[in-house]
Amino acid sequence: MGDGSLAWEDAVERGDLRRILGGELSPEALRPPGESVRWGVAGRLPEAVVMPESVDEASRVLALAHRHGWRVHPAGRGTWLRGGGPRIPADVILSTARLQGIQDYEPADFVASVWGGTSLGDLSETLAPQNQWLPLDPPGGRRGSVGAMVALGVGGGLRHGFGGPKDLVLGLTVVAGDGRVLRWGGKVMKNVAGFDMTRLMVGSWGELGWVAAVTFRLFPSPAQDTTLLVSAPRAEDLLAAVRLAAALPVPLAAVELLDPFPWEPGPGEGGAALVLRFLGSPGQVRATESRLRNALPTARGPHVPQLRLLEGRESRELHGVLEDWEEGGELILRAALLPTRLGELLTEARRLARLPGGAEPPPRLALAAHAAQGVLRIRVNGLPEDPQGLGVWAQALGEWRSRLAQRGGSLTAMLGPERLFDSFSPWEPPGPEARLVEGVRRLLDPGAIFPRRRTGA
Amino acid sequence: MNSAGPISPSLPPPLPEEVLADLRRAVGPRWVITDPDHLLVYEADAQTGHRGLPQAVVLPASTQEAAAVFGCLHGHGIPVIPRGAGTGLAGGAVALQGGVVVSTARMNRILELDPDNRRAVVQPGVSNSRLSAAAAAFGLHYPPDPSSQTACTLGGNVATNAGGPHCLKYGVTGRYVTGLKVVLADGEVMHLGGAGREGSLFDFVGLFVGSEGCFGLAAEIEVVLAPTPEGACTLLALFDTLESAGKAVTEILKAGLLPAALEIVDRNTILAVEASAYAAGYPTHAGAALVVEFDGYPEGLEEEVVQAEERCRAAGAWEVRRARTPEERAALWKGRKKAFGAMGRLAPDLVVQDATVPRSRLPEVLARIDGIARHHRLRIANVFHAGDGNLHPNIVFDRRDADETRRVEEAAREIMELCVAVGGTITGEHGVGLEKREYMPLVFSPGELEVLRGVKRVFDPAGLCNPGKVLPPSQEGRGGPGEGAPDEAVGGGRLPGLGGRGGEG
Amino acid sequence: MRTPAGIGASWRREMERQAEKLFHCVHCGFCLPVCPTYLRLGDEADSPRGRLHLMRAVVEGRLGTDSGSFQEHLDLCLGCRACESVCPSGVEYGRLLEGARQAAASARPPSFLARLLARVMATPALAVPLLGAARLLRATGLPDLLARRLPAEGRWGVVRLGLGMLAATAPPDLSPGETLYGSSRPPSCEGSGTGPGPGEGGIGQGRRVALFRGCVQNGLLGHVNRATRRVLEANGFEVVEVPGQGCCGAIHAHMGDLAGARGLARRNLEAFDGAGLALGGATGAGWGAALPQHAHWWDGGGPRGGARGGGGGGGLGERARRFSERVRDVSEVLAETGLRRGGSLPLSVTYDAPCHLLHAQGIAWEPLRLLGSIPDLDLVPLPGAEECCGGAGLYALTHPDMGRRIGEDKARAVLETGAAVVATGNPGCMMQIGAWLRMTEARVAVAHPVELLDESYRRGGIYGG
Repeated sequence: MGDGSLAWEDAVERGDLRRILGGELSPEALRPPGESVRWGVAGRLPEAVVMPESVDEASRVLALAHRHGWRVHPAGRGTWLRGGGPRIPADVILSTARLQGIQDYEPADFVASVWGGTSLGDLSETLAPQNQWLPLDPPGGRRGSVGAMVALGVGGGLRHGFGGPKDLVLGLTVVAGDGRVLRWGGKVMKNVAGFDMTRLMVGSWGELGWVAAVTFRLFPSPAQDTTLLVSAPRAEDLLAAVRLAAALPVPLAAVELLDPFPWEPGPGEGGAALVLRFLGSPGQVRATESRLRNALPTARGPHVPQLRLLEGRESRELHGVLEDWEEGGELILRAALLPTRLGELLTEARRLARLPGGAEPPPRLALAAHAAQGVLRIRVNGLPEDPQGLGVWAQALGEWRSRLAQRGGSLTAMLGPERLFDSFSPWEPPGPEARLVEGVRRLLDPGAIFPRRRTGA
Repeated sequence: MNSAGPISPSLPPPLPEEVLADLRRAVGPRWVITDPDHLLVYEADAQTGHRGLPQAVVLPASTQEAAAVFGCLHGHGIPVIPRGAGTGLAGGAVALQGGVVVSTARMNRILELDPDNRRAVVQPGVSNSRLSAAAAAFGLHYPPDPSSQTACTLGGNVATNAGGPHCLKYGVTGRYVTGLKVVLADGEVMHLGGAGREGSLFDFVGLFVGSEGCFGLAAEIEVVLAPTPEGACTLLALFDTLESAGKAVTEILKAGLLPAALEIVDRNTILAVEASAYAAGYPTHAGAALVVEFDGYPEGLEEEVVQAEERCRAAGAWEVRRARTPEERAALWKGRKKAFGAMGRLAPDLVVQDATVPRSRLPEVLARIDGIARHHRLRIANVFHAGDGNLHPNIVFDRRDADETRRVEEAAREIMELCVAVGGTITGEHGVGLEKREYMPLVFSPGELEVLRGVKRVFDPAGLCNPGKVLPPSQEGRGGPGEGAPDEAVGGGRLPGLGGRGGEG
Repeated sequence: MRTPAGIGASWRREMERQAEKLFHCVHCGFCLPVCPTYLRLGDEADSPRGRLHLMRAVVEGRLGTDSGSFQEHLDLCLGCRACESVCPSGVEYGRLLEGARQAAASARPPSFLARLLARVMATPALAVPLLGAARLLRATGLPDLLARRLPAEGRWGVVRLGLGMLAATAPPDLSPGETLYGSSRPPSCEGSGTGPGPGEGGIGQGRRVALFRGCVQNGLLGHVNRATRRVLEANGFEVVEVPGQGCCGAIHAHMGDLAGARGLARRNLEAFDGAGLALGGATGAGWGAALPQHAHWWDGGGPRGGARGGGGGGGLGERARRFSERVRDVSEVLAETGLRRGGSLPLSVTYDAPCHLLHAQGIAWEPLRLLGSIPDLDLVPLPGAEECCGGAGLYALTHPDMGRRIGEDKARAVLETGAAVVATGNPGCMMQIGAWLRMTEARVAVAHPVELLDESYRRGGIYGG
């Protein structure tokens, strides 16, 4: 990897880039109007934020970057740029912000192809009049671009009922780290021609290519959107209800456990709530509700769960709030174990608030679980600022990670303070599959211009 | 094959004695097959148009044994061809250039059944149905349901990313595989993914699923299981034309209904089925029959079923039958499920094609396939997963008739080109194997094919794992020994693009 | 072309005639998961698809009938024909197998034991005294004891199995003992005969049925034949004795000795034809399946196909076909007409389907219906009831290893049901299952379904007792 800033001073290269993009190249000039996104990465502004308007432009920019060894940070609309540290300073941020809109949408096919910079919100608005939707609710929700969502590969609660982005992406156009334009998958529901590169790309955090366009599988908008809230003083009191909800013969759309419950008005007395969302035909939704109402009282722990039903708009509103749950967190962790061990995750996560030698007052924790999947998100605020306090945290997280790994689980940090990541890698170091990781990187980013977060390189 | 039967693969050279000794040590002498007569039964899978004799067949019983076998063969530079139950329809398990077939038939244990976490860990030789049967005691099942599910193995399902009629609602194999313990070409055992893990580096599990044995052997497979719906209701709607059946499919989906399955059989298929021993009672004057299935809570099914019935009638159905009990449902499904066997009796040979097109293009594509059939004076019967746009045009013919065989080959290629031209793809669920290699350039650019070759090299640098499959021979002759295989390789013979007969995937 | 001249070649011509049938196999592999040998070995060559592939290779001239692999893998087939029940293309595997075995036998004769037993069965002068001696031996209780005591391994294994099989032919203990009431409740005090009595206008309407006695069955399981007779008569059938009948030849055909099978079949045809009967009733699934096949032992066509008189049988082919069409299993006869209700028989019973009843003749529900008609009988489903028990004619004796693996699995499945009685309608199955139950120390009785009905009738006072 060359020294980007030096190369960037070269007027010839600046000219090359201008010829491709035909415009001014200063970060200011290329910042999309009306958006206050921070384009800084690793505390440093890039030399340029480049926003190509076509796949061809992006391809030529990446070919140029490959030639000169610029470090390129793929980005969407900047919403999730802070995620996934440790951040590596970038010479160029290549954003999809100007590559927006619907490429191709045939409602009868239940398939839509959109440019990478399209926001999920815009896509939803296009689909709604056709009575269709894309059942994805990633953190940060509707503002982020579909390209970034696919690169992150992260879903929300709806993954329980519909699978995550991996299951809903039918095809991708990506630009590799040397400018090659590669199209994987297609526009059809079933496709087993060649190896499944789409799955490899989804969730690769932009390390294997820049996502220019995505083709999604769509679903009919549910006739009914209903949520049953079950509340109790603590998340632990709701574990029996989680098991029951997860075992229903007709899967729910989402089984989310929140402690504290972040929405006003709350579900009733108590701080935690289990959010059970069911979508579908009125008949199935009614049947689901009656099953739950009959079964839940049998799932009592020390407290009798309280139930409250939200329908239609109220239900959708709640889920909008849940999409923003990670907002404002200083540190966002994702811990995972098999679903039946969610209780262990809760107990162990709570210990983080009382680390010996930790800060006073202790940091504030909020917990949100994709409960049927055994995934617990932990939002931390009020982290210590001194190196020693952060050191205690880093050590505790490292130890927790290895204890989770012993039980077949994992711990990753989606977001967090730079200095924490000096001694706690947000990603698990690659195990034996490191040779595969290196192999596909060399194949798709031969000049190593994309960030390599997970090896810290 | 009779007089014109071109297929009699020549005998590949026997393996060196030291290799055989290593293999016998690894799995026990009983499970290393080298007798040429015995090897004959391994020359083809369910697609007998492609044949090749292996130098040996080895049947390991455990991951450890499989790793020892792979390691040994890798050390001697001998190709290895993984094989499940041999129900594949693309020649994926055929030893094209000699080499050793590693059969998973003895790796047939369910290692772990964990109903509380709705997951299971199985060896690759466990059949799809057997896993569902074992899970049934806990109210669970394994949703992908290829029509060959009683026979096909989960290892094979992983290799082809298998689908099935109920994938419309539930998704294909890839959605259900959460972790794999794989034996790579060089014998290294690697654990990828895992149900309790989030944020793995790259999704190598997803990449491995559908790799058709080109990366290694999935020696232990972790899958998620789904709760079994309490009720189901099946409709059989009869139409005058395929077009109106296709319209009903669109209307049902547009109404916001999501059936568990939407399957169509055309008139030729109905005629074949009703003329066979499997007569299902489909009226032979119907132009198309549509099977619609809903599942869920029994008390909540009625309104969806009624709506679907209305949509069918509005689209032109003149009769809609309804079935609720398992027996009644089985009867309605019969004409769909027995279609292939029935067609097998029409003529000595049958090509089972597999392609996917955008759903909205179905009527047009079907009309044009009909045109292709007429132009080549062939009989084509269509059976398809209408909800997914996954077509199975079946061409019946007699291989002994050289001219007809040539016309079948031409028609098969034209159908592939047609499907790609309307935005579809060359295989929806059967895989590429040997059968579709030559069509790969229809859907991938040279650069993309080069990346696919590169990905194979990442897993299998020496090119010894199922060589010659999936990837078309590269023009430049790049790549390891596994690539650039000539069409008529040692011990291999094939009819280009032309399958034998077989069941459905 | 390594096929030797002679019978191998003539068989090949025969197979070529049947080529279309052989080529019906689409290689889909649906037969693999129901094949007992494939399930246990995992080798394609030990699956129906693999064996058909070998047969086809012989027809194509790629393999000789003397090939060790061809011999070995065809030989290991049980002939249970479970594959036929699941074949979507309707391949007539059983018939193809018999033909292939004939070819294989010509290249390498079957084992001495198999030939000896076949010879004895075909020769009444040998079979009758031998079976009589066996009955005497059985009566000593020694076989039962030794089957439970002798070592399982080594050369004693076959002896043990043989003794176990002999012991298994003893009449089942259906008396109200520990398995029934756990007390000495008096028998035959419950229920009473209902429905029409015997005679004209009754259930069987006086139709005449000739019983096929079978050789082993007659010698060792005479009580089944007697029970069958009583039950049929109780239901208004006229049961006729047919003199001159003998071994059905199924074992010979199995071994590839079609000529021997034909000879035996001819004897039976003449005996039954002369009797001019409306119906032939069989109580053993093996010969129930074999008798209808008599027709194709003479010609290349199926029972409904055209007579070609291939083997020089002449008019016998046609007679065989007429005869074949009239053969019924006893459960079929009774299910066709409906049956009388007997007395209470509060037993927990599980049913194992003989392969030649279920797969070869497609008789699945008739025996269940027969058992279901018995008051208070608790019918427990047997997992894997449709799978072969490993008896398969002489198979258990000629293939002790595979026969044992399958037999033990079956015995285990029976035990797990917790049933007191396992019912099955074929002497071979009764002997194999009974032997392995004994050898696993289990106390489960083995009975023909008709015996249970008979006991129910007895208790119901239908026989006037």
